[in-house]
Amino acid sequence: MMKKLIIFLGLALTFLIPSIVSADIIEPGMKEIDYCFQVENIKDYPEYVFLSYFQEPVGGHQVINQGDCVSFYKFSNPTIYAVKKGDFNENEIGSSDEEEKNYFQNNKKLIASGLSINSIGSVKESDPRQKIVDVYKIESVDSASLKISPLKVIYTYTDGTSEEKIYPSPPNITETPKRPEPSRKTSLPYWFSIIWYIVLPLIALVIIIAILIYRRTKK
Amino acid sequence: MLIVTIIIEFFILWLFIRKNPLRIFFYAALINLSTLPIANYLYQNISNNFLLIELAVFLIEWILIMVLFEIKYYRALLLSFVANLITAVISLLLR
Repeated sequence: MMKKLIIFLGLALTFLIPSIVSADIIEPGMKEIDYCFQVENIKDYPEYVFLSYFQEPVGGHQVINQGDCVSFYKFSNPTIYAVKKGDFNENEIGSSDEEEKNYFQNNKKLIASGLSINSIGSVKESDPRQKIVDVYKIESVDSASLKISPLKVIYTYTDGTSEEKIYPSPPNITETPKRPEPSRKTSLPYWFSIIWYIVLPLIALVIIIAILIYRRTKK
Repeated sequence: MLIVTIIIEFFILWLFIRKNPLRIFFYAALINLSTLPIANYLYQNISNNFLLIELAVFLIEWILIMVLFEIKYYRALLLSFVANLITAVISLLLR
């Protein structure tokens, strides 16, 4: 009986583990993209320490300093907290996941923002983006609330260029506005690019020149 | 967008040049096939200055309209300006 149970568990794990692991595998036709977020005006609140707690599934936290670009595991849902400098002692967070979770969930001195931070782990291979940086701004912080809103998103493309897009104001103050779309969308497959950017214009220009030459010879 | 641009430019050219609609359509297609893909490439990879690229397209199409339709330079200038203004506005609205 015991043997059968062990074999059954072993088989079950054999099927389960790939599906857990596959969450980390980039699907065919997709590519990984770098994502991180910044908080633009941390320096305006020198009396506070700002922290990001990454929560499930891998935990972890980071003190956010001015200029930091905070990256995290793509399936995490980070929350930004503020705490008065005098009330903060990083040693209190503890070293285990449980202690860390307990600190962030039960510490009354922490002020949580309601901001929803969404990473993008992968995009289509033909997507010209290479990196996305969300820039947030602290609107206000006091003992009861921490208001942070998205300010802009910076898209960096595979050719090294980048663009900034400003987040729109949400219709509802409690809503997080949708990330603005990049100007440059999916780039064309290589063979199509050759036809579109080179062959078609060349053929058109050759025909135009042929028409002009024909007219000249006719005269 | 290429098809839309060709159709719009065809109608504008046909409004001014009231003969041989098939030839007008053919020339409109040639003009746009020679400028639009290059304009797209420049916008996506070199400079995302929409106005600058539209200006370049307007100037090139002015010359192409002038030589293909064998019309005076000022008529070609007007046609190119009107056609490109309308298509530029439409492409901005569609974004």
